[in-house]
Amino acid sequence: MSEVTAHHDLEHGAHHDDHHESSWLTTYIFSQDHKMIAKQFLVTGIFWAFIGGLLSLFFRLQLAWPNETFPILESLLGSWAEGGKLSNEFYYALVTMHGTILVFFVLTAGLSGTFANFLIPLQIGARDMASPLMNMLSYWFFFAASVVLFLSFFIQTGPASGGWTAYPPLNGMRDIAINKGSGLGFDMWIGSMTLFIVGSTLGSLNYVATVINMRTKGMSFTKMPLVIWALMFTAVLGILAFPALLAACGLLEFDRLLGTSFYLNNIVINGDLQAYKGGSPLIFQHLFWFLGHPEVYIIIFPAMGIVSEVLSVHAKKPVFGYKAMILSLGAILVIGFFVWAHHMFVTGMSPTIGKVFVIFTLLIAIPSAIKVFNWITTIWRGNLRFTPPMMFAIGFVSLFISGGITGIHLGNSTIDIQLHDSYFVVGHFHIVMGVAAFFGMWAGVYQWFPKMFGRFMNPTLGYIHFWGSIIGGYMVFFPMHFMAGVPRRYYAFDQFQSFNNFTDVNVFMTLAAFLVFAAQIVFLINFFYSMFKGKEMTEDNLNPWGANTLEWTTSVHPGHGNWEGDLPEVHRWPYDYSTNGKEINPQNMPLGEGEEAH
Amino acid sequence: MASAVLTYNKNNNNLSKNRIALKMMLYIGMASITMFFAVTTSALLVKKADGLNWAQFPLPNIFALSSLVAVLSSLAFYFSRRLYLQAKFKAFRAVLALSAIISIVFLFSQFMGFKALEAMGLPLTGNVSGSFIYFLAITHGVHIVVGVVVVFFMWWKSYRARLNNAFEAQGKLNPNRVVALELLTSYWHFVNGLWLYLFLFFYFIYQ
Repeated sequence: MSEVTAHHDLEHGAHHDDHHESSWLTTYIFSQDHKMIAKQFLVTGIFWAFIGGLLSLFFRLQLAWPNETFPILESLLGSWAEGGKLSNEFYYALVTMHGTILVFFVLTAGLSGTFANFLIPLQIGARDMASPLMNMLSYWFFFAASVVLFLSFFIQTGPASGGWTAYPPLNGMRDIAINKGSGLGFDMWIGSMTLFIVGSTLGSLNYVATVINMRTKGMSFTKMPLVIWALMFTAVLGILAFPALLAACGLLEFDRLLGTSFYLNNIVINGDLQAYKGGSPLIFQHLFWFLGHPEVYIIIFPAMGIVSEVLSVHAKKPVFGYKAMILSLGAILVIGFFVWAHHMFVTGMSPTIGKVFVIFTLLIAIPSAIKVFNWITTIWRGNLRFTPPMMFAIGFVSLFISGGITGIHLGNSTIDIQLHDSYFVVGHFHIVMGVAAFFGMWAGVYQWFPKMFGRFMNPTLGYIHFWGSIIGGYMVFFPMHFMAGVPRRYYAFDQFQSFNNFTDVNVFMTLAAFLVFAAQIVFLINFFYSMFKGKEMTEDNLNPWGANTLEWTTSVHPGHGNWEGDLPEVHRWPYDYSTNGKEINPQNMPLGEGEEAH
Repeated sequence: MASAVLTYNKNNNNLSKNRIALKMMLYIGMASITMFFAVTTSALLVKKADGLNWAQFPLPNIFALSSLVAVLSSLAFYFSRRLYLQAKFKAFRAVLALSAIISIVFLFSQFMGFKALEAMGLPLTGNVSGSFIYFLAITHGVHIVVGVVVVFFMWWKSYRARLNNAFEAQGKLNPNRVVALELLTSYWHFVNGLWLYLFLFFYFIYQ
């Protein structure tokens, strides 16, 4: 047999403590350290959240005061807002880009990219990801996707404007005479999505392989923190669902650039019959929603995991129903692949097939309700500390209940057909997967900021951020449920007498949106100020929240490799709170005499 | 010869942990690629089922030849890996290059298949049923091209090792190359197998 000898590259993980020579470029830009890559995802996600939020303010101005002019808009947006009024085409570009940015760049890359990178190696006791190189590439593919989408704002015909769902036939033809945004801007949208999917897949492969293979001694699957389970399941969802979006985009670009007819049939433009023949736009919808609905769980799973962690730590109580929490995530993962057509009840679907999708959709309420019940019972009679991360975690539970309940309505085809494409739907999904996911993300940022930067965020500003966000968030999206008969995507509601009743509500929601945005400015100031000037963490207070998980056993500024010396060994599950006569029992603390593992 | 098959070392060895993880990443990546072709062929079935403007036609014979070439390419790669593990590096490089060249022939045969479709009145922009063949073959071809580029890169690295007096020049196996070959072998058989799936799918769907 030929001998295979150990080689440095393959032992990458084992040699981190040797402190490789690294330059500024390889430390901060092209870093392969999972912690730095996490920060890159976070800062890029925050940048995009700011842009996405700003775009929503622009179109909320239009919705509240469709006849008013705002000179500042012309200063900011130029010809897209001539005379201080948004053009109708740019209005649609704004909502398209708002959806794309928030769904993919912020709540997918910004959320799971940040916390999967940061927490997986630290909480399972690994030196780094299975492939640090691929991990770095996953960020840079995301960055490239960001650059392409950002540049599309500056081309003559403007960014994509056919909706974040990119439905054909509107987006199936490269005809700027019909729709400026269907030109180069949409090609850039597809290019950006393709890069994004490649990056997301590279990251997800790494997350799953790392969790399964790189756990430290003693870290069995049933000793893993719930956030790790959630992040692993998120990755599995991405690996299996994103290829459908890639296929959908590929076929769409073939139609647009090469003239095929996958999605197009008998299109008439200005009286002229186009050459496209035999395609079906419904195929795109099937492919899109095969990703689109699991995408909801790709967004919410990391938030669920973070919240499970934060509630337990700050209530100093074990998570209630640990295994039920894991099984619920697994059930949502599996059932989540059989519900996509509930987005398509109005496409002329057979009622029999519709019923199948109704049943699967309503089934998801069961594991979701189990999770909510377990979160509430986790904090029930706990020793609650209302720190900023805890406030956001509780806020998440509130929002998830509020937004989740209306999901039951919309999962039922007979009701959904009446409510389809109305503001009820906008209110539902913004609360349950928009604001709730943001609350999970913020809970995570406030919780792990000290571990990321070695400093604390200011708690007072954190509370201002929380109250502004929760009150403002509900004020923006709760009234939308009363607009169940009002169609979404209209540029100017004052053109329709029947919608005049809602003029004041639109003004109210727009003012609330400004309140929410102001709260985010407070967060931004707190985040960046604290990064450099916040109260410092010290070596004698390495575990400020009193958590059991392994990340708090590292030094204030852990190097690439995370632990100096040997990796910690795990002896107990992560939720040994208020047991054994002690408030916390870290996972690496050996079991006492006569003590049994959970 | 005993092959240098990589197995999990229970002694918490980072070397074998990383190898196992890399293999798993590849396999999960293959699952992702499989999903791409599964959903696209499903889309084809849905389109066919709606019965609107769907052409049935005999699949050009050249695609059967493509399948034979894909099998040959996989065989060549299998032997190239065996040769490496037997430390026959010169023969390894020759057969490795041969497997890549066979794959280039495969790509050419696909191009000829497109020409045959055109001759049958089914250009890319023609009937949707034909367009699906172009789309699936082209996206599959992209995966082949990626494999060919990696194979040539590996060939170049092995050739350079001879000049640098590295592992192979001393008659030893390069452990990195062993892992890379193992991974690439899996990928190579996978993408060739993927074509066989597509070919059979087309064969039965278009009859």
